[in-house]
Amino acid sequence: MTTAYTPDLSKITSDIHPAIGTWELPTFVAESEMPSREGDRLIQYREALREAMSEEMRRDKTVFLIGEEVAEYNGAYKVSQGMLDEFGPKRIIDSPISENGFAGMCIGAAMNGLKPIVEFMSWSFSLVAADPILNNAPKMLYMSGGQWGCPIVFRGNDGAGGQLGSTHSWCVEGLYANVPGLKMAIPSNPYDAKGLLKTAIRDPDPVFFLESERMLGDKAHVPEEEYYIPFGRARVAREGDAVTLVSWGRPVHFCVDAAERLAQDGIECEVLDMRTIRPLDIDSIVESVKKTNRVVVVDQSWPFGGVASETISQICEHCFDWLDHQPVRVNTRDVPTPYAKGLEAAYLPNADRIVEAVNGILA
Amino acid sequence: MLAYGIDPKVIMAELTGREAGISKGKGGSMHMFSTEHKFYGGHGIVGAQTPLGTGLAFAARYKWEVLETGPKQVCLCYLGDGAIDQGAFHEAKNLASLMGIPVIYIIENNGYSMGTAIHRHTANHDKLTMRGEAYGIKSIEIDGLDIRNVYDKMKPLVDECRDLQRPGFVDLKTYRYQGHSMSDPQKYRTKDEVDEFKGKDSIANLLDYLLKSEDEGGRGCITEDEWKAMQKKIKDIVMDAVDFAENAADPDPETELVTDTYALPMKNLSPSETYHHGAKNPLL
Ligand SMILES: Cc1ncc(C[n+]2csc(CCOP(=O)(O)OP(=O)(O)O)c2C)c(N)n1
Ligand SMILES: [Mg+2]
Repeated sequence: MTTAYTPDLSKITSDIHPAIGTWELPTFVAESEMPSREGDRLIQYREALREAMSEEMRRDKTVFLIGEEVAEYNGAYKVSQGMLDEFGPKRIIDSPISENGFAGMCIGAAMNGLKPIVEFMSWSFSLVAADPILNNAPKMLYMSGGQWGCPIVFRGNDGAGGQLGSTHSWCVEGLYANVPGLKMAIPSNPYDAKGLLKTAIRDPDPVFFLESERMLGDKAHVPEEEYYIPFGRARVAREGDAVTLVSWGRPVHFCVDAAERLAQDGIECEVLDMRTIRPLDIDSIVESVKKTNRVVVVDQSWPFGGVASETISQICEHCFDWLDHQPVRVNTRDVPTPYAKGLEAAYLPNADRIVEAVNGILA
Repeated sequence: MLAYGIDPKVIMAELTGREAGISKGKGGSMHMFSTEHKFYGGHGIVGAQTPLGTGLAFAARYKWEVLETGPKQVCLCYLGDGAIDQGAFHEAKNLASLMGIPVIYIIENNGYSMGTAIHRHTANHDKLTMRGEAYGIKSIEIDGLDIRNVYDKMKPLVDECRDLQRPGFVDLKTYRYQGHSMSDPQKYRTKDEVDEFKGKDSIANLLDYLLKSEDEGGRGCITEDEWKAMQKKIKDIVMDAVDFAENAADPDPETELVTDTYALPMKNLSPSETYHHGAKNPLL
């Protein structure tokens, strides 16, 4: 698939802040020159993440991985399986259950020249580390008047893993994307997971990398070669001209499902996978909305003051005159995450609710 | 910061929010840093600096051990007696001991967490070293009002922690004469108590030692006149810093407000501000 919009690559590879010192940026190429998404090297999302980390750790010894059960247990979700064998216990580090402590410690390590990858078993548990990840990492460069940056990646499972109840099912994007100074990537598939995580590790700013327990086993073709997906470049997951469906992470799949069902009724939806939330590729959304004049934003975090709200604000600011219907959002329901299977299913966004939203717009 | 050799002028300029401040007026009184002097903050959240200091030391050890690019180093991480009650500090001590991280936590124990006396804010307040020992960290108590004693006790600990790549813990007993901040009526302590400590003042003690002859048990290395000249010089330095800060320019919002937010700025990281005021959209 091609993208509707190709951002100016020179803007992505602009100068690195002097606080960061010498820094080697990867080379980004246009979408058309990226390695093919089609092929038969089918690997899981978790393996794609592992490949990204391992490749970067081979390249750069200042990169290390720390988290609960990442080493001897081989990863609570087997993302880091085998990495201890290759890199040893000084670079694949089992931590105690001290998110506040080890997240803060790694920010100190990043200030002192290392490039930590911090695995949260789940982003739900990052809440006890909210102070260091929100107060220190994204503000260090600014508060020090440009003396210290914080090149660090925080990664882990985000969103409802499936009947884990309210404390374990956080979608933190609604909370954390609010904070300037951080970047946020939310890949929806193995190919993007590898390319975005490699970019995240090479980025000199703090990157919040949101994976999903529900997608770790998803398989797709992932090229063996190295490639980097630039932040702020959405992917057109499906082309269409009736309604634009905008999403990121797991709900992209719900959008594609909904679009396929709607296509049976002759309604062709365009699906945009944003891939990163900060930066948010509003240009691609505008491009698509100019074609469809209708937009539904699907977001698996809560509706109040969330990423969908922000996206819709920006859509209104950028292309209000092109809209034939007010922008519509499909979020999780505005309640704590329930436990029971049926309740949880009713709580999350799904293809049914997206189809309903699209039909409502077109009615 | 002064002890690290940082120019008082840029400190005062930061306190007053000037562009010439050490953090360009963007950090403020609680967030001052100096790459040049390896001074890593200034952190406004009480206790939050302890995992960070642990991480600075973690990186130092990593550079020595894994990258083999640096010498053995040690990080001095300062906190107040109030900060020891924070959970982050307990996590930091556990990590430091577990991983062998060369960081020394120095509790500047002035007996008060803001207006709350130590016996009212922390359990077992007269045995703080237990808080380090509980994690297997070498922990010592130092009378901070005797400067020579501080040096004599700190030097071997710093050497040991650097050499063995282990953490340390110091209960450094001190006092503060002034209020916690500008708005502190100090109802929580008596004037007698403050006066008692003024009678044991650490600078006065050191001065006494330096003035007294060796026969009197002192050092006899400065005279009263030299001390007076020194005091005048200190006053001049402070007044110069005040003048400098008062005459320094405020940061320019045009250039300083949005810079230093990202090390690698990109398009669309922030919502465009152009349209907030109904301006015409160039994308259309
Ligand atoms: C997490 C947090 N809570 C409260 C405050 C407000 N506060 C600032 S300093 C302080 C007292 C700190 O006492 P201590 O650690 O003993 O340091 P001291 O000022 O005595 O050196 C408080 C409550 C803060 N900055 N951070
Ligand atoms: Mg105190």
